[in-house]
Amino acid sequence: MDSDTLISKKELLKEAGISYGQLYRWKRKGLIPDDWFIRRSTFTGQETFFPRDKIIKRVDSINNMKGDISLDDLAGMFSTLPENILLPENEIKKRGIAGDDVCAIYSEIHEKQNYDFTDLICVMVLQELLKSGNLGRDESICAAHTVKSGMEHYKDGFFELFAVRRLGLFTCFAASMPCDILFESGTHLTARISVPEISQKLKLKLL
Amino acid sequence: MDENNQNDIQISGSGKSSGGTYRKITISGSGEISGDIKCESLKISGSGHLKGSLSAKGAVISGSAKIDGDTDCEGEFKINGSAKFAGRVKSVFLRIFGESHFGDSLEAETVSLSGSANIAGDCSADSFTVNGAVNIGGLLNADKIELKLHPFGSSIKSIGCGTINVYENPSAFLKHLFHAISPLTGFILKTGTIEGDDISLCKTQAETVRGKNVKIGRGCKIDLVEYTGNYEKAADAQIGREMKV
Repeated sequence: MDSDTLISKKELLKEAGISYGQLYRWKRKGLIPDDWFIRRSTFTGQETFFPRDKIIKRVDSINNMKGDISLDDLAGMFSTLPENILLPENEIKKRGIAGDDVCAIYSEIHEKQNYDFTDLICVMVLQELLKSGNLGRDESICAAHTVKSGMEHYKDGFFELFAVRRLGLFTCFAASMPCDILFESGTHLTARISVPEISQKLKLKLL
Repeated sequence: MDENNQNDIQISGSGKSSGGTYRKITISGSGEISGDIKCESLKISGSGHLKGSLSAKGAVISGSAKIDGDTDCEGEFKINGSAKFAGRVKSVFLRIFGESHFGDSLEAETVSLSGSANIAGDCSADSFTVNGAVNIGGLLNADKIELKLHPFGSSIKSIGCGTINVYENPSAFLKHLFHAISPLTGFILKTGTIEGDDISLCKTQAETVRGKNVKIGRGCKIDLVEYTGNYEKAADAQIGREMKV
């Protein structure tokens, strides 16, 4: 790794215009994961570095949002664990989580008045898959089902959805993260969705 | 664990009990509890040994206590005497008068220590105050750090904070006693790195001090000082390198 991918703590403070106190407070509240702090020795002694893109993005989102919500709520947002939430269908459209058509398809499989966190994740996955155009309607529904079971199976929500096609046959499965999967040649990976990423996006929309 | 059990445990004299969920646990004399406990209040006067974890709304220990598992307190944890925590400790308020030993990390909103404290892991708090001596094997991360230190030699691996103030405890008797037995080292605090917004030190030995406003008081020895705002140093401070960044 070189200076393009890492940023030193000093540079970060200068670039982002934050103070040591703020940085340490965010670390304490769990807004910045411990494994982003990378200790390296330099000619001036031990210094701490961060993955440049991740930390800058994170500091931006904290700075943009911290006025409206408490740091503890923010910490919940950056974690991948589902929160207690129930949204009525009209809120889903209003907050831009998914469109009418997607909600209609989802309510065919699960008759719902209010959507909990798991439902919302499934709706967002459904929306992404349908939007991508790589999967048909029934295939997308099958994938949403898989995500739903995945949310029950992987309690921490750290998993990915894979949808593959081989000789016209479709199937999908979930795998805990991080994973490295090798397919038989001739298998097409039609979709790969990271649930933590979806959950992060969803939390931003829920604010 | 039976969630509906709302009984109390009371040990007077000497006794043993098992873990579970309780309302009040009172040990007067000497008591031992095996297994994890969850309770509203824990009170130990004398000595207590909890062999499992502790989860309480509030706890007061007068005397000595040993907790082998993790400790989680939703309110105030107060110790007068000595306490030994083998696991992680999480509390809202933690006040200790006496001696304490933390085998793992400590996390609280407000930490106030009078006496001596040893923390093997990291320590994080909004406010961290010490009157006495402290040894921390990991990172001390707090918004506001006030250290009034005895000349017994405190050490902290590294410090990250908003504000830190290090003073010498003005206990003249102890000072004279200390100089009589060990006149060799005059440092009250030894640390690797201090990073903070407002830093004020005295009689501190550190490898690196990085901050916005830095004040190096008398009797300090710092290898490298980096500052962005104001910088002051006492005439007798030994500074290896100093630079405005």
